[in-house]
Amino acid sequence: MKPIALGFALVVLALSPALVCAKPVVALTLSGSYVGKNDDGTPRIVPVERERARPGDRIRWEIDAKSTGDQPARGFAAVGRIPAGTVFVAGSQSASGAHVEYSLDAARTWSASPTVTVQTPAGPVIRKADPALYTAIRWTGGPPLAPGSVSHYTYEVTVR
Amino acid sequence: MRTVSAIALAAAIVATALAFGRNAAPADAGTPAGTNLSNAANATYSDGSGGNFTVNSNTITIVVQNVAIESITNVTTGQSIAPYQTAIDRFLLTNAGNNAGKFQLTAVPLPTAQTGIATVPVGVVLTPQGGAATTIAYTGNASTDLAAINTALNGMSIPAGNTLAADVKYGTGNFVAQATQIDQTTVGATLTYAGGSGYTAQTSAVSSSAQSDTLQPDAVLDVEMRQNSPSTATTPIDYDILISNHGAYATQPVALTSIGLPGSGVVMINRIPTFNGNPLAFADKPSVDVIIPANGYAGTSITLYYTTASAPFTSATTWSVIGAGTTVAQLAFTTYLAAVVTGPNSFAGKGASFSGPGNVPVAAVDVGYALAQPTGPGSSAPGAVKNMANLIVGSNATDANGTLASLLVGPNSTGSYDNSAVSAANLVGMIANTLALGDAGVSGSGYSNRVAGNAVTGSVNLGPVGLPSATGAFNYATGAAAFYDTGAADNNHDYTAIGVYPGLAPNASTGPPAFYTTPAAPAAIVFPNTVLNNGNVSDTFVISATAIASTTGWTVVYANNASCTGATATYSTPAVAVSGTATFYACYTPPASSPLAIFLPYGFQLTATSVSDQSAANSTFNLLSPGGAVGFFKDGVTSGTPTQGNQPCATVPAPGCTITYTLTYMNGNPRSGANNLFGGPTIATTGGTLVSAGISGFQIIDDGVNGANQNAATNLKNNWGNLTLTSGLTAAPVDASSNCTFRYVYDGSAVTSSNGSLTAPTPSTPATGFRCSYGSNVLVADLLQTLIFSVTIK
Repeated sequence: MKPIALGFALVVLALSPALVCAKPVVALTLSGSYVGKNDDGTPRIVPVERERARPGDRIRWEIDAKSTGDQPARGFAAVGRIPAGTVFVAGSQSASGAHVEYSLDAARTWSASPTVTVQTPAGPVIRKADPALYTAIRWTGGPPLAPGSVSHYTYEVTVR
Repeated sequence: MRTVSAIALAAAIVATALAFGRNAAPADAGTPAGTNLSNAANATYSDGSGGNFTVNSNTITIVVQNVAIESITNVTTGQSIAPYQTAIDRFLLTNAGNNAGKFQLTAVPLPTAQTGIATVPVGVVLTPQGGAATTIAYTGNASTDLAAINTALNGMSIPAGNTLAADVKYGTGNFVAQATQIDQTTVGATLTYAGGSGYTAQTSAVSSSAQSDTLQPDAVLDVEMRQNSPSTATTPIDYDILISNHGAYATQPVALTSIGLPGSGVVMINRIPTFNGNPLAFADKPSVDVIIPANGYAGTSITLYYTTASAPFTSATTWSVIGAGTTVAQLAFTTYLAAVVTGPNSFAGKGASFSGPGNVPVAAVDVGYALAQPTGPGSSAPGAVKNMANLIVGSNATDANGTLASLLVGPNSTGSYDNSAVSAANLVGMIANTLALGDAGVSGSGYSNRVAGNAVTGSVNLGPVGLPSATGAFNYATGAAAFYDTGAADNNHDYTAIGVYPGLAPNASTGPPAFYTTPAAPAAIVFPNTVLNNGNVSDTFVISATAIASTTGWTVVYANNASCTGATATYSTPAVAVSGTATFYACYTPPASSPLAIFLPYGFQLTATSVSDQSAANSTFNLLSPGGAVGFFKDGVTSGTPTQGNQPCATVPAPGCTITYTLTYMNGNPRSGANNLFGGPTIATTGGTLVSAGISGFQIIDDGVNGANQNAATNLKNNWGNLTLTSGLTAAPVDASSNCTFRYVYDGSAVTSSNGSLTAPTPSTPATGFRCSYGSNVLVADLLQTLIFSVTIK
């Protein structure tokens, strides 16, 4: 009997609001689709699970953030990866009122307009980085995710 | 069906590969097949109370599939292939997909001539990027060759982004393009990727590429012999040998020592024309018109050589340079002439397009010389001397070995191109100057056109108008002051005989007058004469006149018209074409108021002399017989007793009187011969008495009617009507020659050359006119004849 009574007590502790601290909880879901056009020009959207990738394919990544807690998630920042073998499609990201930043170093540093230093005969020159160099994308600065709300973020890459 | 930007990406990769060329680093290939594209999102947030949270999404992994993409580029298209070269058409096969793969050709790449000659496939060299080359030589069996190629390709795994070079080799063999020619080579291939974990094998669609090369035509040697035929017998025959290379490439020098000439060069050999087996003598030293520098052959020179040797030539044949000090005398017995062109780029293709063999409108070299005309029988015959620039030899063949049999020669019989080998037999014919373009059996190269010449021979016949070849036997012995018959007719003694001043008055007591007195202002007596150019060149003839008999005081001028308008004292015909004729007019004016002997032909011997050949001359005689045509005079004697009045008939002819006419006539001119004009243009205007021309068919017509041909000065009338219109012929005339056949008219109508009755008149049936017809009888030369007939006045 004892083990059973203990288990039950744990369940009660987990489910009872009075016994659990309120906090924001966000569920994050990633999905991908090939996007393109059929021969007749109509849009073609196929979930990535259905086909293998081919060089040149364009993949739209979608991130859904659902606030499942009882408090708003504040300072929410969603990060999408640009997988090796793919290239970010400049301008393909959704904004959703958030501030978009990019990383050239696997999400360690971020900038809305990343730059690179290029060596020229005249010395090093700082230039705007080619979007093909992006390795991650981040959305920040949006409103808090209210409990039960969902934020949707998309961006597209091309398979090299 | 995805139509995403895979193709665009592939194109970009290809473009990159192209930009870097074969030695560049591999192009940025696509994401390799089998690559797992893994993705997962994460997020951070806080609760606003210092609590920070991180959340990760699910992870998605996608496997990259094989995408076999290939491209083939023709990196050497548009090449300009020189003659006798082995061409290489390079194709780059690029693995533009995302995996290592192997190419397979769909067919043996063979160059295909779009026009012209077929080229010779050699093989293909396969070189993977960064790898070793493999050569597959073509066997001529397409299946075998394709299998060999693909076997080799199976051993070459080409990484994604890498290339494989396929060098297709072909040659022009021993042939060259006749004109600019396009050859095309096509390579088709597939690219196959093997499958792997999570992805499958794939073979690309067939790609292909073609490239075209331009085969440049070889040198096209051409030689043209030109002849400037002399216009006179003393001028030489000028020859010019024009040489040109109409092709796209230079002709290279060949070794000449095997034929006795020094060193090497492009050589033209010409056999000096012969007549009766002997070469004609030079009238002028051969020379080179300096055309080459003008055509851009800087540094090129030409040396002329001559030899007296006979063909075939050997290394022992002696040739001598024709230099500044060479004299024409030294060139005696020259049998062959050679022009050797040496220098850098000795005979580059230049100038006008090839327009057929033996036709050099723009010459690179012009060798000229002059030969004396041939002499002797047959020398003036057309084609007595033939000349050809027999041979011009250069080389472009890589296998040229210095022997004449394998060289570039020109031109050939069709003019298409000139690299055909010269057969030994043809070579002999060419050097022997016996073969030329157009001759039967001429099929190789090296022949020029042929020019034919001959000696200039003037020849002329001068004779009566329209009858320049008339023959006669008339002549005049100056010493004896007498005409005579030469006995044998020739075309130097033909004549035109014209009776002038007809209608002399009868003299009842003395008979025919001995003289005729010319008018105070005598008109010109016009003799048309015709020259015939029997020579072999267009010619002009100088006309001269020599007086015969007593023609003192006569003047002679010449004109090109019967009115003697613009007549001149000296005269040359216009140029008369060979076998052509020209008529001119000799205008003779006798001295004024001077006696001219009756029946005595006055005249002139006219001579036409060739300007081209002054040894050629010919004569004719222009004869004038005062008293009428042919010497014709009618004398009337009246006799008998009148039936009216009492005056003797001899004093006043009256009815009943009989007038006996004696008509004296003579063929003063008709010596033996043919086609002489007898009577001349005034013969038909002798009034009531008409004498027809011709030795045979001679007629005397008398119709007793006043005629229009009375002498204008004296107004005398020599006819019956002078006395009465009703007189009549009462008996047949008596003809001393017995040549006459008489016909009569009885009604006063005109007597013509075709009317009249054979019935002779009688006193009771007098005729009003008669005709004496000689028919085929001949009016014998130089013999006075009489015709006596009586007319009774009614």
